[in-house]
Amino acid sequence: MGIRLRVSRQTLAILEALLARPSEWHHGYAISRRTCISSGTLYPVLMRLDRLGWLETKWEDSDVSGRPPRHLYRLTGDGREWAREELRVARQREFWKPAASQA
Amino acid sequence: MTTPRPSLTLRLVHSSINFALRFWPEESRHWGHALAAELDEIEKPFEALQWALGGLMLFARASASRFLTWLKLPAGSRLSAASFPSAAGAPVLPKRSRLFTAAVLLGSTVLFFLPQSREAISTVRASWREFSASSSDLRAVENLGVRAEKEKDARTLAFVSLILPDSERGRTFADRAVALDPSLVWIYAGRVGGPSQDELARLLESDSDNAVPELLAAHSISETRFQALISSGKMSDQAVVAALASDHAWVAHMDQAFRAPRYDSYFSRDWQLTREVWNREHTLSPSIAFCSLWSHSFPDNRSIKIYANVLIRNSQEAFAAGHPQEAKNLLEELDSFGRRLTEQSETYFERAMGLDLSRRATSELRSLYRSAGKADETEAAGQHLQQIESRRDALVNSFRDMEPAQLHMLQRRAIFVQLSAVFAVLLVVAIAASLLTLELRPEKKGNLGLRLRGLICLGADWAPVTLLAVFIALLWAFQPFAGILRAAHSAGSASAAWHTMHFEGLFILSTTLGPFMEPFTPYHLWQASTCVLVAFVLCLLLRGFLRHKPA
Repeated sequence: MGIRLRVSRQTLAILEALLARPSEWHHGYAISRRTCISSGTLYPVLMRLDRLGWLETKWEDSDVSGRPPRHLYRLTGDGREWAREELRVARQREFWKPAASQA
Repeated sequence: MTTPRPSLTLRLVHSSINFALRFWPEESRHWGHALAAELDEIEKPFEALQWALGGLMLFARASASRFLTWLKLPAGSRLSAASFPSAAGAPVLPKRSRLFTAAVLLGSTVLFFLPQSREAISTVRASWREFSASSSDLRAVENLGVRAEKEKDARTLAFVSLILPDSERGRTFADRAVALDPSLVWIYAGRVGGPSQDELARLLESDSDNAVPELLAAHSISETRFQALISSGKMSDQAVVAALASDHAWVAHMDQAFRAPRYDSYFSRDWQLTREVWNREHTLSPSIAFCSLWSHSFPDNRSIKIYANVLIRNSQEAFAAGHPQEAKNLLEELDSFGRRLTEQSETYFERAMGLDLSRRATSELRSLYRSAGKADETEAAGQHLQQIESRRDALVNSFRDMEPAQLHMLQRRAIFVQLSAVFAVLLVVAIAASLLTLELRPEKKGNLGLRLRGLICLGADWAPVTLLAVFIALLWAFQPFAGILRAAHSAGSASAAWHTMHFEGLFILSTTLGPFMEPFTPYHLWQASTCVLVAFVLCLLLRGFLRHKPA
């Protein structure tokens, strides 16, 4: 990939969560629960990924009537490639251990 | 079946996020909605609270980011795209960003709050009133008194009572100070308007070997006599002398004063008190220090002169009656008092008065010795007289001890200080007006509007930088006056402070204003307004004439 960014551990955790089922759409709260990252950290990362064009977003009507539509996220094709590369580099540098090996 | 009512925490969380959404910056508001939508999926109140706190943090970041973007734009520009048309209809805006203007204004504000700047500004403001205490200065002093009363600070209370004009409030502060510290009883003598009868009695009792309380007591009697003579229409020098010389109480007090071993008009104690408070309370205007020096009450010059005349007359009568020793004693009593006044007093005024009394006494003594045929004593008296004259000359010359070069330098700096100060005030008004106009009012149409807008933009671009430069210039120009104030702050004696502040430069700040203030005197303002009115009426007449001119 042409672009290299300094990514934090939290970003790597979010990327890993999104890559776990890359073709599926994810809710913000679900990502937060999976990564144990608070909303105040999660959304700025999602916003940045969206701005870079590596995140797809869409609105989905809630199953429960009266509730507002929910926002869904998944990585774009380029985003997935970039995320995999970032996670690989981070693992090589021992900067990042995947959630499975941590457990 | 009804749904259970959400807990207080959940309701609070929803309200706070909804409140934030109302003010969320437009460009990232959908992220706020996304975050808020997830809130409905969270059932545990504590988790919802954590989620909402994260949302509020996001809101704060988005708002700060928007604010920064807004700051990077020039004053008067909007963040919405509508404000940035690329066509010819683009609004006229300043060149510099809000951030730059804010940084420069912040720099000016920091400079403004530096102790040196505050001193310069308060001194210049005081010079505009010729260093007389304004009502706000007196209010500040009164507040100081109220605080000192709570803290039972006798010396500050005494200071406040000396500064405040003759009023019940001032008297109350004085009584409170003396109640807390009886050694401060002297403040009754220094107060504006002099002491009351009760205060005088306490003063006479507590400082019995000092001439000043006796002189103050004599003064209170002489005032009553003067008032009686004025109301009866018999006021004349002879009548005054006759009235006082026949008043045993007045004569007794004057006699006690002339024989007292000490002369202390409490001027130095007054100054020490002022200096103590002035050095501690940095916000006090220099006018207050001036006020302390000016408002101090001194013994009555007229009573002293009249009693000196009485002594000289009694001496002449004693000599004529064949009692030369008694005549000599009376004149020596006068000379001794004159010497005490010269040597123990703090002011030029009192020293000059003392030298004058000694001169008169010695001159009379010389005549007395000459008449008695005592050549040696006559010669000694003549030499003493010469010494007195030279001391008097030295005293008079000490008023003019500033070098002309220093005087000119101070005058130049004073002009610079005053111009900088006036310019700074105008710039502050210009900055406020231009920025408020740009931010609050849309651009006006038409050529005049465009030109005016251009002028406003010029003001917004340059006035803040100029203000900063003017502040720096003001501080530089004020340096010599700051030095004078420093010297006054550390002046150990009242006369040194008086000399430093009054005669060595600070007043140049006020006198420099004279030529600048001349156009603003009531007479010149009246002249100018009359001219403007006449011109206006002539214009109206001319306009009316041109409109109704037959075709």
